[in-house]
Amino acid sequence: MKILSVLSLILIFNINCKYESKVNHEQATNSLFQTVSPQESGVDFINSIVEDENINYLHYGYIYNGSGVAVGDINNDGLSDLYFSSNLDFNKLYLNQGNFTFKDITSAAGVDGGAGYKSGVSMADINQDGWLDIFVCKTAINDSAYRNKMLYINNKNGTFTDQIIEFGLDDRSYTTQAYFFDSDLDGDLDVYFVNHPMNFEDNNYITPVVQKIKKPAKDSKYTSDRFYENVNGKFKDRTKEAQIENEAFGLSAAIGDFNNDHLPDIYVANDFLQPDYLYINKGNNQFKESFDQYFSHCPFSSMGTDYADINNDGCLDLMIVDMTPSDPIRQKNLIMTQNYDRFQLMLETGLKAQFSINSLQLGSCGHTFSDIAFITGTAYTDWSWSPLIADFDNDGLKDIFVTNGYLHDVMHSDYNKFKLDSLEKLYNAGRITKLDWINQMPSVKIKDYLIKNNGDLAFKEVSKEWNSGPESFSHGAAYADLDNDGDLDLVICNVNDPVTLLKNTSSKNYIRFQFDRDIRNIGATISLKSRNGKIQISQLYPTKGFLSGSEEFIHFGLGDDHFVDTVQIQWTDSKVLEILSPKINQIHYISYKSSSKIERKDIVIKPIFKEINNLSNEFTHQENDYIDFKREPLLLHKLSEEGPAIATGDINNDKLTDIFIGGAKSFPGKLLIQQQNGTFKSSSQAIFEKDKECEDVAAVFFDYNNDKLLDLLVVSGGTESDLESENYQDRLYLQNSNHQFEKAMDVLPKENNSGSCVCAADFDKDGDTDLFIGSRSVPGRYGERPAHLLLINQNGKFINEINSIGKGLNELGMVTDAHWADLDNNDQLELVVCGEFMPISIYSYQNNTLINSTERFGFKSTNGMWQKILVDDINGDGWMDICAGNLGLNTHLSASHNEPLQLMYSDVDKNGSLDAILCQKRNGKSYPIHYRDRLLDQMVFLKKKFTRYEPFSNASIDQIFSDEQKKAFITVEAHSLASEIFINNSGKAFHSITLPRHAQFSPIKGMVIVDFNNDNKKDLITVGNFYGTDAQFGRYDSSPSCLLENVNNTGFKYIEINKGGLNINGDTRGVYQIQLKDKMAYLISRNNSSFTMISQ
Amino acid sequence: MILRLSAYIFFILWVCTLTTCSKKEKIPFSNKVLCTLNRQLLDIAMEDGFSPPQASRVYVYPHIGFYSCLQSFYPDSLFSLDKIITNSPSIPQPNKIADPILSSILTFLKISKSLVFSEELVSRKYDEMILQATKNNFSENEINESKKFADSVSSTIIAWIKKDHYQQTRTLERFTSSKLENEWRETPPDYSQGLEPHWPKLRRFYTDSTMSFISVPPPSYSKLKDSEFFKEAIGVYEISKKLTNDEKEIALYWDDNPNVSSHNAHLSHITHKISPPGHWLNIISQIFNEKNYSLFEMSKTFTLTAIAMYEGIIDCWKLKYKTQVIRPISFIHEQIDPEWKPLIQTPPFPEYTSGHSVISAAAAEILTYTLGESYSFTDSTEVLFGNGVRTFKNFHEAAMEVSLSRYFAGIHYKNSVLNGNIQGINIAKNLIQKLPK
Repeated sequence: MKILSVLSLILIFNINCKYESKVNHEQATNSLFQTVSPQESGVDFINSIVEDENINYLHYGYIYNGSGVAVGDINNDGLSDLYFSSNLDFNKLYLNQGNFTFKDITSAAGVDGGAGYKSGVSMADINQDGWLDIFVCKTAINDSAYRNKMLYINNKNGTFTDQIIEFGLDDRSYTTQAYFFDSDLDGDLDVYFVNHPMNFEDNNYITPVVQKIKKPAKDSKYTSDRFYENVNGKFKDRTKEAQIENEAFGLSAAIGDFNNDHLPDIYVANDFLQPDYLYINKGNNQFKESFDQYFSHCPFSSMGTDYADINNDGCLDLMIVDMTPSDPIRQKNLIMTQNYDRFQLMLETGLKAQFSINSLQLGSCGHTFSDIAFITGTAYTDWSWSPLIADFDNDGLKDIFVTNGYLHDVMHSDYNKFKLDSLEKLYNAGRITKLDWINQMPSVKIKDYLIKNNGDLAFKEVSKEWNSGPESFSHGAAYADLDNDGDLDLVICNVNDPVTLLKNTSSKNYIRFQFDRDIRNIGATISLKSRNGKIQISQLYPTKGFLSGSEEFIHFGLGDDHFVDTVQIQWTDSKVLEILSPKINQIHYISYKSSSKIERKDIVIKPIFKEINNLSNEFTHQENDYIDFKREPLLLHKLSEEGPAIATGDINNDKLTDIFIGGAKSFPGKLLIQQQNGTFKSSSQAIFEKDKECEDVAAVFFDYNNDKLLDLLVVSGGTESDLESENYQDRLYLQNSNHQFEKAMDVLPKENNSGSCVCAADFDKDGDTDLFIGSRSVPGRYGERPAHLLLINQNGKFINEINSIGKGLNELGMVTDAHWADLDNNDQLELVVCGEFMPISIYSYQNNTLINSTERFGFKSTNGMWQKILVDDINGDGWMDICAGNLGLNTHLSASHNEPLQLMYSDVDKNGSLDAILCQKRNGKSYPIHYRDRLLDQMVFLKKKFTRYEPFSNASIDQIFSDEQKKAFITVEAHSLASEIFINNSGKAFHSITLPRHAQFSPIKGMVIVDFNNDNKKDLITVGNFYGTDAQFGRYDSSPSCLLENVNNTGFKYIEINKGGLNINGDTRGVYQIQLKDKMAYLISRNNSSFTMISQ
Repeated sequence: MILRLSAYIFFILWVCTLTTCSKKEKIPFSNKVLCTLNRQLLDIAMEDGFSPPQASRVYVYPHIGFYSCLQSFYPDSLFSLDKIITNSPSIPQPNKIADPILSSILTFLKISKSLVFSEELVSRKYDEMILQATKNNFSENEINESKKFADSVSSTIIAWIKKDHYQQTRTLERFTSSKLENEWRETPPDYSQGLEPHWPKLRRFYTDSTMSFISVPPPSYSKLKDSEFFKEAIGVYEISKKLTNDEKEIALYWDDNPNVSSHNAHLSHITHKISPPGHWLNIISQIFNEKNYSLFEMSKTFTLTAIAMYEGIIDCWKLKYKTQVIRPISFIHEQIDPEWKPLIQTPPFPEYTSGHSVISAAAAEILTYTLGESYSFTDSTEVLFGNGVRTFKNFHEAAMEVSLSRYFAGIHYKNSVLNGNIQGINIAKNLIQKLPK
């Protein structure tokens, strides 16, 4: 007891000391970073880009890409020094003299980089003598004499000697950056060069032959990426053997382990049409491109990268930046518009799904990555170059820094669609020079982004609060503790402006590690465990971001933690060092040679669920090609890809679940009968072939005629057929004693609704089954409220009573799902309905009518983009709860009560086609989400009003339309996009619990109750993705499905992929419980792909 | 103070008397004004980036307006367009005060304004013309009556334009390519969707939509080396490898793509050029600017040529989307050489027949009819786009050069440019037949 109090006294004393010493700083400025001027620091380097008639953007399309910085202690005095590349002038080396003062020693050191266009720079101890060497990449100039890379070997006396030839690295390829890492784990550094071709005019040609990676041109010596193996201190070209030949405009790479085999892999970020590559290290310096196995999409113009654990789950996450502005006005002027035909062609030719959106790929230690850019608010950071993931405020959570800017806004649509054209004509007339032409391009400096990690995958932009430096055109950047005060400072390279130095003034605790510069340090991983079990990990690959290298330390912020439980250092071989309770707020020096080591032990976790391979290739859905956007350019997503319809039931009364899989238009449905051994056999049903022109979107088995045999109702939907087409007619198939299905004629009323869901129940309690069939939309007229069906079984005939008993249902809107359930335990069923731009809606059956009780149950203000509902007593209190799947939070759309997502529709131009405009409300005004070209394609009359992009970019609906036109609009809204569980408070009201963040990565399209841990509490599996977006704003492919554990009936906890075993990707649409002979299994369906079955 | 005021009043009165009493003689508009109007319309349509079919529609109606207005003043000198255009609107009778040329000018501009996007550019021209009339000593009354008459003619014609099904075609489904190997698909570098698939639904002026102006179908798709289709494709490929400088110049000269995209890293920009029918209207302008013709001759030539070209594009587009012939670039990439590039950008619509060939032949046939068989001329339309000038012996020579230019440029097969030429001549002949002798 006494010891404890003494200890805490010391502790308090310590805190006070630290606190006081920092107070002065905080008084000087409130922001985390302080800008240190070139006058104060002595770092006066400017990367000047002065274009002339010979060197300009039109000659070299990467001329505005900027330069980089490498940070490292070149004289081993404990202070990190700075080396800058200069594109057109000489490079600079600044020696750190402490206290944020630096001295230019370039000439004395002999490291000016020489002639040529210098790009990436890095520092590494290439000859392993304990002193950092400097590597300089070159590109741009056609004459290979000017592309002589430099390997400056440290002479240990403040001077360097270029020994590129001696080391065998005199490679004259067009190199963006060099990555030194130990590829074969033999204890020396090998190198990967990220290169690019020079045909900037052809970067939009899609080669027609389907190919995984574009084959390198006949002579790819200078353009393909290159790989060199270090053999006894000499580098040998192993490009061919490594199988990394390619022809892409590579801008950066992230080195690290992607598949959990402890071998370093290479993720290459490529600009333009070529997708990014993931070269998985197979050992022996051989690589296999495996992007598809780990990723569902990538940025279109991938630039810088960083690979670090953003959410402290022990798995590394990858950030790749693109170039879309976050400011909505800039975005509408500078966007690269998507062309759906081209997008489809890219998919067909193996160029993969690529979007002009940053990716923040959440890793899962060897399983697939989920892009969480939208949910974390990191999707748009303008024309971005260096993403750096590091803990800047020392709170134990890694934040994000992104540099951005481009000397000229070459993507400004008014410029490149109009202004440039008139300039070109003046140029043709000899009245202006090419330089005038370039100088007319808009040039706008923008801020760099600082994004604070608030934990639980929530981030907040704090560029202003923390001070991200002056607005500039920023490219390469690095972090390092330049003044050894225990926090990470930032060095940012700018074009035509001095380097920005940001001094970090954090006062929180930290711990830092530096390795002896012997073998095994590059690529070493440190994991840190705090007393409360929290972990942080970090891997040392200093070359990161863009054209740059950060410090060769591993830095952890500790926040208010004063103790570290254990630190484990994993070297690149299989050796591990453990340090117990290391001291905090200091640097620990770690030596591979002189420390005791133990063998690494890999813990194998047995996942809860695993895939069972009992599915034949019948378990596949094939979608017909139909592009809804050709008819309705303003559609948010396709409505013709809602399948597959799945119904489960025991057809042959053998206690095993049989399955009906509906077909898309032109594909027949399938009936699959379960066999005793758990496999399924297709049952031939001629009638399905006959009805194949219908797009099946929902189906249910029920005993229509009380003959103890299940009959099948299939709902037809989609939008492919004309409004009045018979293809929208729903069908009832009756099962005969031979288990053959026959279509029941004259039982269902004639109709042509485009349906979405069906639910069957005897809600009027007259002894037979009645049906509600919801409708998704009016084909070709998205927005309008479709008619639904309330089918009452009257003497074997279904009569549509939607205008009498179900009168209230006409006001519903665009329905996606519905269920019958007794919500108030009055022995009377309620109809629970969800849909897009509508609340969860409840209808009670009273006095022979369905009365809207949405408000009575407290659902009035639940407008969302609801996709799916599951009604069950989740918390076991005897009252039915509602799990409701929404669009999710990982979307470009956002919605709140004050700033809802809106859909305004009317035939504005009275031309017979409905104009449904998706809007985002911002500061009290509604702005169209679509860009100018798209909106004007739908409403041609606006072309007269908006002949240019600028006036449209900030126009609200009020400014676009006249008062009279606005009056005609009908507006529907969504106020929340989060998936929730609504808990029933004894039938009187509901309160909502938002599902965990992982369940918000994609729309929830399917849910099922499980109890995986046998604690008699209802756990949940949610599935769902959606690929049918218009490709401008990305697609929903980030959910690998979600296992959610019920925690004491009060909430849900996400179970990681490693433990849960749910790694089910693709365009997943539903999950269904399947009774096998010996166990329960779950079928996950996909649109236009094969299915997956899992069990415990 | 009072003194100063009265002096001022006196001054104003003096100015008034000067302007009203000493009436100067009215200077009529020069015939060349029609060339100016035409050129301005071409420039505005180019600025707005209208595709060739849309451009042909934007050009034809202002010329019809000018002609109809002028004709209403001089029914003895010009035949009425209802002789050739079925369901043409009946043009109101002019009043005595309105000036024929000014009325026709203002009609031209009013109709132009209704068709282009950049309305304010037309409005500026309208104001300039009024100012010019004032300067030329037109009386206020004359100007007002001309305005009024132009309003009534143009509104009659605009009401008639609105019934041409153009608006309806805007609401129809955009083109989805079949993805079949043998049919047209989107082409590099922009992979734009098929342009104006519903253009054949537009109202025609004088041809019967069931008539066929070209009897030869395109050779059917085949990958077999000895097939006619393959030979056509290899023909395009081979000629592209051995083009003479003159042939290259011809190909670039007649590019006439209103929206050419160029790509350089992240800079993708659009160059607007005068469209194919615009190029021919500019040729007419140049001729009339150089030599003296009556305004009747001028307006008739512009209008008939514009009508024939408009009709030609509708007929050509009908064939394009019916036959769905794959472009050389797609076939050559897939079957011969994946790296091959045509000399100019392939426009985004099916191949058969060549639209430029059709409209050029149609224009040449009309011009030969109105201006004569062996009419030599020099064309400098392309100087604005960095090309030189070209001189031709006659109109048909120029039209045939256009046809070959598409083949040299690698965007059409030879059969398509030759058949397009025949199609255009037939369409124009059909119009000439209908003309009052």
